[in-house]
Amino acid sequence: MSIKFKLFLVLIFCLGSTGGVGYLGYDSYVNLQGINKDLRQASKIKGLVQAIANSPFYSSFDKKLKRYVNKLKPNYRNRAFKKIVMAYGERNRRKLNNSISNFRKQEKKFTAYLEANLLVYESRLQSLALALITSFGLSLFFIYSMILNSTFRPLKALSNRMLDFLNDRYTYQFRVPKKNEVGELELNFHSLAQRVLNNMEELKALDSAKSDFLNIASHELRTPLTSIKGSLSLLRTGMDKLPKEKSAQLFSIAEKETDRLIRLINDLLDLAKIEAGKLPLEKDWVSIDDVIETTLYSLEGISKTASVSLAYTSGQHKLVEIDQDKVQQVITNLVSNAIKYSPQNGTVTVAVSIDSSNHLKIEIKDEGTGISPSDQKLIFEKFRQASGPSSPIVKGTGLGLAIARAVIEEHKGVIGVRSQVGKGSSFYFTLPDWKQDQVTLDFGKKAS
Amino acid sequence: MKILLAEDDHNIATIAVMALETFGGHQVVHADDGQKAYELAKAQEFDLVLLDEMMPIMNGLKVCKTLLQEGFRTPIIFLSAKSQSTDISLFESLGSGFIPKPFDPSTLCQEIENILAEAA
Repeated sequence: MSIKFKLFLVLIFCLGSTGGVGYLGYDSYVNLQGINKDLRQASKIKGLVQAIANSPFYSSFDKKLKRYVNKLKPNYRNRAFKKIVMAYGERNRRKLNNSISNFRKQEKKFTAYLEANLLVYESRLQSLALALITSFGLSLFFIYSMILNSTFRPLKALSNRMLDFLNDRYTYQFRVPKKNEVGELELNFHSLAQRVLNNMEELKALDSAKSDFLNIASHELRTPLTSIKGSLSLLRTGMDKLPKEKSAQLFSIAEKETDRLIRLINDLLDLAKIEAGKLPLEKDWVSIDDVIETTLYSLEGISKTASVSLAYTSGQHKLVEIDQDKVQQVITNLVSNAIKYSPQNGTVTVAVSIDSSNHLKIEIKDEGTGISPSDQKLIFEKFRQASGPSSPIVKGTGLGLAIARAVIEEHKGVIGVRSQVGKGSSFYFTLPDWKQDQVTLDFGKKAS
Repeated sequence: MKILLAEDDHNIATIAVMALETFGGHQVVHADDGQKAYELAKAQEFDLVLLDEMMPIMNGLKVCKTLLQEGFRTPIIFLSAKSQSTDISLFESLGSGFIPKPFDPSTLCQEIENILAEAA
């Protein structure tokens, strides 16, 4: 029951009892006035009778009496008085005396009756006054109790909880709040507090993720630097001691690790730019065939070195609205991963299709060792690599898939992998903005 | 000394081995993951174990803790690119000492001798 409603009930009670008491009181008061009026009349009539008893007959008086009597209410006392007036008019002394004594009897009864009624109404008025004071007192008490219990105490408790929250004391027992206005306030505060706590948790998690990233990044940067510094230092200090093959090996290490460091720094900067939203896409409508074929051509070198063949069936005649450089980077990344993890004489196949949401889907399939379900979730994260070949031709930075995901998501597509351990993997990504290339299609048709 | 080097990066391993053998005249056995390092440590007698922290299968801290639990007495020195103070205090409490990466191969042997001298 809401506090507003309770207060309303108290108000109704107060008004109702005041009204009731007021009405009854007024009624009693009016009656009291009536009785007093009757008593005054009785006194007057008593006086008149006294005058009649003591005086001789006066005709003018007689007329006055008759007029007066006719105005009186027909009660038993007045009837007795009327008989006196009649007897007076008849100038009948004997009748007069009889009627006077009769009147005096009636008058006594009547007066007693009036005075009893007087007492009744007077005590009634007293009770009503008491009732009024009581109902007022009760109303005030209810209002006070409501203010105290329903409003003040819960508000104070809420205020204390807020203070706790402000002072970083977050644990408190959440009691089920009453279903009234203050309870609503408590519920709302609780929701607000919960949201603040959730935001804090999110911020903590983000902060923790940032720290992790910094730690891993610093480790990843220091590793190639160790090799570079190490090999150069050995070359300098061991100039006389080291045999030629060892020196050559050290030069090679220094050079390769420098390249690795360059790739890593580029990837890190790309990722940072993408995540800061500072890498705007330069979108253009390009042929998907062109994009894929260009990428595969640039990877021919490493595919030959790894003895892995690349397969793509051209003739798609589809245009996509993409940032060509970045999407090529993604395809390069996925295909070079596929080559890296493929067995010798294996094939990496690139295929284009339309998926169920009418998005263009590009798939890169390999015949490698496959990826376990737990790794499938990991590999798109920064610096994460699945346990892979121990000496790959080009050591990865662990950022390629994270960058690929960022680029594809910027294009409003999705990226993912389907794989089973031992049965190869199929990496895919979708591009929503595509259209059929009518021109080449028509031309192609005409030509054939 | 006969040294066990646990290091997964082959280039760094090559450099470390060259530094220890050429400049220090030590004999080095190389393991490229934590599991192999642990097995070699138990199978052969070594004067020192140089342990990289981040390795596949078992990381350096785990190898160290397991060996210590089994009563391993040979000194262990951590070689790591990790720089957080919490990590460093772990390295120094569990092992005899810690050498950060990048390290200078020409001074590697001296640094090892310094750590062993302090630990003794």
